[in-house]
Amino acid sequence: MQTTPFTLSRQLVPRLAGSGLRGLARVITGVRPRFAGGRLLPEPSIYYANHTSHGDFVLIWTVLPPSIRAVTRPVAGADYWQNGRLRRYVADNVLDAVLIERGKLDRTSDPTAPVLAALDAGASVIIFPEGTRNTTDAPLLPFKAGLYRLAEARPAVPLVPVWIENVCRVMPKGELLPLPLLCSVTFGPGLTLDQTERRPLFLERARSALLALRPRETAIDSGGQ
Amino acid sequence: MTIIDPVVNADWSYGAHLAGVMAAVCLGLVLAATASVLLHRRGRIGTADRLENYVWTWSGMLVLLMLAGLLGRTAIICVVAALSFQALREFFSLIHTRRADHWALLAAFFVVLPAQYLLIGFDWYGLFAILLPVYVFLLMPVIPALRGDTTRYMDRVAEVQWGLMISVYCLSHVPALLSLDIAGYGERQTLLIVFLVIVGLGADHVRTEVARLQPPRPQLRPTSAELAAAAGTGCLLGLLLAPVTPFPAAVAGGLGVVIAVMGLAGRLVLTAIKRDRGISGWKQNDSSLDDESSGLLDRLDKLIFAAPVFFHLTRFLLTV
Repeated sequence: MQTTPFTLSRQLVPRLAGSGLRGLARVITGVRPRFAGGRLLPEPSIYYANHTSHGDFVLIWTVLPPSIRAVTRPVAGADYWQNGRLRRYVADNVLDAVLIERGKLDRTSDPTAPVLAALDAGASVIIFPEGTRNTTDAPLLPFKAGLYRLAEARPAVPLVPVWIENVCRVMPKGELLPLPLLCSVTFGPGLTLDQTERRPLFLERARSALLALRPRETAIDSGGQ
Repeated sequence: MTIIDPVVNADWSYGAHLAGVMAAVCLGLVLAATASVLLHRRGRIGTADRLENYVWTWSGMLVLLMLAGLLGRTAIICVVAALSFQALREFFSLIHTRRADHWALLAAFFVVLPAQYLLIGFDWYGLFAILLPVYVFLLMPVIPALRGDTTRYMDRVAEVQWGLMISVYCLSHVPALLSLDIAGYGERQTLLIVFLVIVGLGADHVRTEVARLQPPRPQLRPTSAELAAAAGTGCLLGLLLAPVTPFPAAVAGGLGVVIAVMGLAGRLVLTAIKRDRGISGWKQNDSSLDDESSGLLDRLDKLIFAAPVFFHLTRFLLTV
């Protein structure tokens, strides 16, 4: 492709926006990665994380090593990210999001299909298996079936639990200004689906693996709104 | 009329005072570094490494104090305000708060902290001494109460107030030393900060080494040997540094003991808070998983309680 100022700006603007967003996340939260399960692998993986704030994905993205960050895409709700031109631009160009349809009743396509396509194309994905932002006092909501269906369809792809600490206090739902509290992102050892494992058991195992990464027990009390 | 007449070595300029202290610390560092190398050769690697760590810590401190000595008052206030900000961040990252506290916490970071250091800058003693213990104490709890969330209300309000007192109020008394008007001492107040830091840190380091000689124990309470080591070192360092301070030697030694004992108390209290929260270091988001790595509050804990007491004693004894 010929490099014209136009194509250049089409690549440059999202890149700058991306590094700006990561820089902002670093300044506000001082976020640091912790690797409880050793180094991350470059092969396609499914990172699944707790979801309490819009900042969750940005924080994971910020702490991923650059080579892995380049091939990692967030899975996000199409209903939210296709609503409005700016959101759509950010989702497509800055975040390179895999958009899926949520809501059992009104969806027209299989929500796992675009995620599987991304994995087959060599990308890693970040998903939030609770399905929505957790605004309750519980540290983690029950998981939706999506995680199981991905594991069932691609049994070789490791599922890496990722615990994000404190973001819910940096920017609680509905607040405008962020608090400069310290956050951390802990990556656990990857797990895979056992051939004989039934859905509820697997989801419970994945959920416990994620909860086990919490840095402190007191997080039970500070997780709420 | 002051309670104690300031004793100022008027023959020496401020620069000579500062250079004298720094030269003495440098000499100590060279001796310690040499000892470390010799110990390493003799195969006592553990001791040599610990000594080397101390040499690094003190070298860094020397550079910081030197900069503080050369920089103006405004620069020192800004640097300590930045330290306060980071300390407050570390503290607030570990407390119980809920969504209703969001505005109170924002106000702590972006209104209370700057206001306190501005008052220090304007040298408005009557207000900076009571801003946090009185006005913030009265007004802060109003914000979450207005939002109506009363779950664990007392805990949340108390923890916010504690974080502010430790990270902002106590620390702000370090640059407040710069505004003490001591007859004949002129603009040498930075040396009071140098005195506080060297005595506080020195006493804590000697105490740590004494604690190491004793069998490990689970209790927080320092042994009497630790207490004696800290107080003795504080007294000794106070006496040694007396010539650059406006204190008579006996007073300098006494203040050294007070700084050392308050340092021990501060460390004890902050360690108790860490144990309560199940951490061993304040920088809880560090990359290492064992939480061992230190945060800023781990480094400052021996000065936090000492600073306001040293400030008030100096003010009470030596100013009109």
